[in-house]
Amino acid sequence: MTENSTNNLKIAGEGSVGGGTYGDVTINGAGRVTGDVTCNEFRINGAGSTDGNVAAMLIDINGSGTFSGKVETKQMAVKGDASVKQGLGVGDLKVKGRLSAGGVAANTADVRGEIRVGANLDAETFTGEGTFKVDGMVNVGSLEFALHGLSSAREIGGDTVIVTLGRGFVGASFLGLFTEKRLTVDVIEADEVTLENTTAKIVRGNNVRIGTGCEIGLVEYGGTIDRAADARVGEARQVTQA
Amino acid sequence: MEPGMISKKDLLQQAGISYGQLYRWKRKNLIPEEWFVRKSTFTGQETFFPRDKMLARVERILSMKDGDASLDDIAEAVSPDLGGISLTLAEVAERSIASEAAVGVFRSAHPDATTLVFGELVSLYVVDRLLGTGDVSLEEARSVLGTLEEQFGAFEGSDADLLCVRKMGVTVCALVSSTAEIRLESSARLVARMNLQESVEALGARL
Repeated sequence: MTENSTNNLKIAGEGSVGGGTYGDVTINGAGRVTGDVTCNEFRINGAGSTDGNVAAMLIDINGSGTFSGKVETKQMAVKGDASVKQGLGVGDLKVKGRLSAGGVAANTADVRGEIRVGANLDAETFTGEGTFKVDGMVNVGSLEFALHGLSSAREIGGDTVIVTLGRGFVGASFLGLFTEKRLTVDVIEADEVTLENTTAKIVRGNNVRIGTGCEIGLVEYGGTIDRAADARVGEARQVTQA
Repeated sequence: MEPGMISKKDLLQQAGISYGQLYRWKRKNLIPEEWFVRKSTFTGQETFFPRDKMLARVERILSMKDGDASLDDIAEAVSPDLGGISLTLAEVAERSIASEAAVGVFRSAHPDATTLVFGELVSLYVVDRLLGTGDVSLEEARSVLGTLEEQFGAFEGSDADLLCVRKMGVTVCALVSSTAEIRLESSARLVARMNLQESVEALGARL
C-alpha cells in the first residue's frame, strides 16, 4: 500500500471533492466525488454520489448512493437506496431497501426489498424477499427468493431455483408492495426447480415442483414432477437427461 | 436446425452434463456469451451452440476437472489473462511463435518494433498460421495484419473470426463475430476464415 492508503477523505455536511486513491472515504451529509476512486472503505451516511468508477474493499451505504460508473468491491451493504449506472462486481452483496444496477456479478447476493438489473445478474447464491426485475438473465448456483410483488427476468438458469410466495413480510407495507406477488419469466432451466406464483413459458429441469398459483406453458423434466392442484400447466413431458 | 449448431438439450444429453454445470461454467466465463445463440423454434425459444467448438470445450473442461483443476484454473486455461505479456522479436524466433516470413511482414509494417505486446503477438501468430496454410500471399498477409491491428480491439473479449475474401485478384479482409454466417456473391471466394479466439488460446499455450 502506498502512503495514500492512510490518506482518508471525509466530507461532513456538504461538499464535493476530486477522485483519487484514498484510505477510507466517508460522506456524512451530502457529498459528491468527481472522477475515479480507489479506496479501502467507502461509506455514505446521508446522500453520496460519484461520477467515475469506484474500486473499494467495502462499500457501506446508509441513505442513498449514486454511482455513475463501474463499481468493484469485495463487500457492499445497502441500507436505503443505491444506484450503480454501469456494472457492479461484488463479492458479498447485502441490500435492505433498493438497488439498481446496469449489471451484477456477485458471489453472494441477499436482497430484502428490491433489486433492478438492466442486463444480467450472475451470483453463486442469490437469496432474498421482495422483488427482482432483471432485463437479461439470472444465472445462479442457487436462487431462493420469496415474492412480495411483481418480479421478472428474461431467463433464469442454475443449479437450484426456489421461488416461493412471500408470507408475512414486515417491510411489505413500508415498501408499498401491495401489488400481486408474481414472477414472470420466459424460461427457467435448473437441475432442481421449485416454483410458486410463477408465470413461465418453459420450465426445464431434473426435479420440478410446480406449486400453487403457477401458470407454465411447457414443463420438461428429467426426473420427477410434482404439481399443485391449482397450478396450470399447458404440457408436461419427461425427457431423457443426464 | 442449422448445420454446425447443437441445441442445448442435445448438448446436455450428449455430453452428460446438467443445467447447473452449464450455467456455472457460463458464470465462470468458461463458455463465451456469444456461443449461446438464441433462436425461435416451433417449441418456443431455444438456445443453440456452435457444435464442434462447444463439444470440444465441454470435453476440455471435463477432462481438466478430472485432473482436479478448479474452475478458476480452467477459466485461466481457456481464456488466459495474457494482457501483460510482451516478447522481443528474438524471443519470438526462439520460441518459434512465428516463421521468418511472418516476422518479415510484421517488420515491414513496424520497422522500429523490438518488443511485441500480446495483441501484436496474436496478430503475428494469425498471420503466420495463414501464411503456413499457403492460402494467402505475403501482400495479403500485410493486409491481414493491418486489419487485425485496426479492428481486433472492437471485438475485445468476444469471439471473432478473420475473413479473407478474394475477387478478381483483389483481397479484402474483415473481422466478423464467430457465429455469423457469410454469403458472398458467386464471383468472390472466401480464401480463409480463422477463429481468433482459438489463436489466442493456442498462442497462450505456447507462452
